[in-house]
Amino acid sequence: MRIRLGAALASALTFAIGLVVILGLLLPDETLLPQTWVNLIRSVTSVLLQLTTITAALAILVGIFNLLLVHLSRLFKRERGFLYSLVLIISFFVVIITYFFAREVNTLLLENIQRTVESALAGLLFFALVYGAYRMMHQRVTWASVVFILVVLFVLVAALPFDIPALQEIRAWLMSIPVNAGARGLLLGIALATVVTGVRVLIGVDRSYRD
Amino acid sequence: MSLVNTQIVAILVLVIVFVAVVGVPRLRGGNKRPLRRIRAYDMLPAMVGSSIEADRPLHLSLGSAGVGSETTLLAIASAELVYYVVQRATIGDTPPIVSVSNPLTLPLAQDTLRRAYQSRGLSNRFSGLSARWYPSGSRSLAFAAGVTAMMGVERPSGHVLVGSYGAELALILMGTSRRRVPTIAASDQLDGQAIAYVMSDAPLIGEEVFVSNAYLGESARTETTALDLLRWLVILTMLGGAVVSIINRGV
Repeated sequence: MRIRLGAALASALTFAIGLVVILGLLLPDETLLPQTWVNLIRSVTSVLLQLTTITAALAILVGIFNLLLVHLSRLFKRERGFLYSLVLIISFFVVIITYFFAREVNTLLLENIQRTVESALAGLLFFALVYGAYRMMHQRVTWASVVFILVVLFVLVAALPFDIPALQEIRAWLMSIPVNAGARGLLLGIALATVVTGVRVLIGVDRSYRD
Repeated sequence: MSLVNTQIVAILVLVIVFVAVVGVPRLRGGNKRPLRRIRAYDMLPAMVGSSIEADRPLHLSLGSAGVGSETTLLAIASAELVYYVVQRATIGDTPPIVSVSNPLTLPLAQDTLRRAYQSRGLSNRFSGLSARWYPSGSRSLAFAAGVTAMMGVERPSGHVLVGSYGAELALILMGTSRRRVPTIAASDQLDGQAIAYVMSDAPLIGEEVFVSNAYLGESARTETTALDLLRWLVILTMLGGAVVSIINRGV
């Protein structure tokens, strides 16, 4: 079996760093290890976690660079939708300039354009969900989809401010027993899969190390 | 005391998973166990084929799944799925588009694309601009707006939305539905998952996103075997806990 040096190094580095961080986070105050070792592992873990935070902060610059490159490329090549790219680039520079030279205008832009547009989109969500329900019944009428729509309608009706205790009790039961059980099942499945993926990455058997 | 217990449980879980990942697949027949059919994975080859035939890009998105946050492993698992899809789509003229809303995931997306092209010996066709960052606001609505705008301009032939999404997924899926474009969706958030189930053509539910290696790759079915084992352990622990609780009440 041929082992590439780069891949082996990447796996070893990941394994070593992962092990140190896990030890640093999981080691209790009183262990069989000498206290100096415990302190050393904890300080290395702290430095590594700080590095992650700094990298995360710097990554926003990578994102901005990518966004500008994508839209500048579309603009210069006069590709379909290049006018939108032009608007984006102008907006980008206007926001940067106003932030440094006219902070009030910047705040005004944020509150009157950005927040208004986001609020409008949030309002559209309701229609998107109704459309989704319609589409579900239109495309495939299965027992699961019928139950899903009936439960949604029931929960919505029971949430209305009518004083019908029976409706509200059934709604409360639905939310606390079947909905809660389903949600926990989903989250448990995701959690188990996350742990398995984590261990695979940690011990270097993930395929990405081999490329 | 409770802190020590949590740490012991965490170490115990890690040891069990380690044994499950390393040891169980090596058992006889571990790699030959049949996999149950998942519609989304069945649909993927056809989606890639129609993208190549129509000369239109395939859009893959990781949503707000981000390296460095609690969704790190979801981002890695979603990137794995993206890798297999892009690997199949590299023979087409139009490169697939990968969108992310977390800037830390952008290098992961670019590296995934690079590796997929490299695995086919087509490194010269890789472009880092195929991975795109759409910034998200407090509720990822800006990301949804960006992706919806991209749909109008680039006209993707299909969408694979696997990662972390909230209610904003409804806006994206409404756009794909109106354009009658096939969509696969999954989210680790409950509201996003519910919307994916209702509005996408083939949802991936819960842990199904994490097993793309077994369904699309050629390597060992490590994840599925380990997951099955863990699932049975959880079921047995829950049943055991219930039995103990009943016995204690009886006493």
